Amino acid sequence: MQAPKGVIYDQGYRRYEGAYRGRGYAIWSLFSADFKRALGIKKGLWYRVFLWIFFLIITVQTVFVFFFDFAAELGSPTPATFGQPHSFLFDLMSVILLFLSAMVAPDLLSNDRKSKALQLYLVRPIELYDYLLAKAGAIFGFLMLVALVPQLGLFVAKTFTSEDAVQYIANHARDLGALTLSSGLYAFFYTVFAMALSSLTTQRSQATGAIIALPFFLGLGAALLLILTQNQYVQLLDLDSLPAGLKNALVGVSYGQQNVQITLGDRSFSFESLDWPIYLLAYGAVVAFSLSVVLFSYAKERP
Amino acid sequence: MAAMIETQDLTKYYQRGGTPALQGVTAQIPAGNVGLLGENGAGKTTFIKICLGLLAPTAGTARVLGMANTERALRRKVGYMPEDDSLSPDLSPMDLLVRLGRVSGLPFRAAMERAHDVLYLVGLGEERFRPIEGFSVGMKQRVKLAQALVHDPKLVFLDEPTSGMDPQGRDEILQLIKNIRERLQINILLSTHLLADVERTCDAVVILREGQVLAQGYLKDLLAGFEDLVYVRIFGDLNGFAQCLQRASLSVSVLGSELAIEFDGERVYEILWREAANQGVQIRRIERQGHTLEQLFLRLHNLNPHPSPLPARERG
Repeated sequence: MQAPKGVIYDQGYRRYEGAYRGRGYAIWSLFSADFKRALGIKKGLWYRVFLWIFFLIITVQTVFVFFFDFAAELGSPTPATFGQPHSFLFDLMSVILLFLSAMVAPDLLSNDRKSKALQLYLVRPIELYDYLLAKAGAIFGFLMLVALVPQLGLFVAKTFTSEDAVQYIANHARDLGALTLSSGLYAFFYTVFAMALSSLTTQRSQATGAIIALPFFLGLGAALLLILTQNQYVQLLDLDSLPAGLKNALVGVSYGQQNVQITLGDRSFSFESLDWPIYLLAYGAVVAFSLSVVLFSYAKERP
Repeated sequence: MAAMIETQDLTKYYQRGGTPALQGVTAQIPAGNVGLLGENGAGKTTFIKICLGLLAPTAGTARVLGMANTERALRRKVGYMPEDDSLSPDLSPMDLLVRLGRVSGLPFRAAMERAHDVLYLVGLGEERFRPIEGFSVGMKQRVKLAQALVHDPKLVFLDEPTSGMDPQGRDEILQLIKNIRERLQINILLSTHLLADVERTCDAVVILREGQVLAQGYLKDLLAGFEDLVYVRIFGDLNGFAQCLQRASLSVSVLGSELAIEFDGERVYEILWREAANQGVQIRRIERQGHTLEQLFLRLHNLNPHPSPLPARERG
């Protein structure tokens, strides 16, 4: 009788003899897994449908801004209020960024608390801050991607439609830094804001609703107060104005005029942009408050 | 043998001035399969969470596998199967285990391989790519067990592993737990209120009640101090017959429709038949049983309305 031949490849469960990676690897693995989830990988059908709808809207916005700016360069008459195209694109995209943060942040944060999955992570060799850092990184990375890629696309399109592409790049290379920084400002703002509201509830729908509704009602309130009081500082209640104010300082304003005048009947109101340090202070205050909310609401999870 | 878990005066108050969840728990838990036994609210989950560093004790210390419970390196060597659901419903077991394995420090390829192996080990090989939300209770328990094993821990804490399961599922999980110790040499601390689970799978036990240790040690030592019981079922006046036997110097308890007599020698049978003949009682069934954990548990509760450590041997 011949001796049996062959090698057993599947030996079933075995003890692990290899090396374990460190804390940095653990944070990276959590970040990359959640970043993929934010992009819709292995998510349900409706999540991906909404995601692609938003991507489509941003694409349409980018194309619209490009052709509008291209037409202006060719000499077509444009509304006097249209200004710097990249800045205009940020203004159009900001609502989409808000909606996307409302979609992603509750999915990554509220779900783990609702299902009590957080304890499965905290019994691993990471700290609570590592967990939150990975989540924030995933949300920020996703929003940064969404904010920056259309801007880069617009930049490339304008380069190829300019008279001298090389000269255009030479003249506007520094704009790339401003675009990246502005995208980061928007992404970071909506990341911490969405995390703050998501950390307050285990219900994803409640968090999503709050993230969308709160800026809307604050913006409405700011507009009404502005009309009633003519105090320009109340516009800081409009949360979107905070990253927008900083973006205007970096990239340029999207309006032909610094200030906007509105006439209602026989009354007119003027809305003046504030200086960028004021926006920076308000931005910093909102970010600090949001981070405090996150840390406070997760405090009880720490031993 | 070095203790797997050592606690010294472990105390936990959730609210100042409230009832302590743990009070002065000093325990030396040996390696192997150990049961953490107690009623609901006895402090079992609190004890486990303190050992894992998920909760800070109000007082006292805990050391696990020779390390302080707060050391991060310890969490690479232990696994935890919580009582709560704790599973992300839209992930598959494979995705969950790879994610958690990597967070535990396994490289990606190793995490993938071990996730496959562990899911086959727990009997979920064919379902490893399905979303967890469609799983039954038993399947979810297996997923929880698998995630506790994926990173090859030396010690696994199982909190009510058979909770909500049907008898067959319970049987399978308990067999799995035994196999984990016997085949894989992984130590287990099994927290449960089900005595039969501990009896079936564990070599040692720590019994908690109202946050205090009622008894601890190897089962064979804890049960060695107690005599066997002879269970007798009769046709006749049960209480009257019990009183006759007690007058004949037997230690008798009435348990429902049966008598339980402490066996201290063959004279028990002689007295039993003699008194049955004298009283005109028909003996329908006689069975002698070794002392079970249930009896130990009930006896400890009856003898200790205010729990304190009990010596293993009751009779000299």
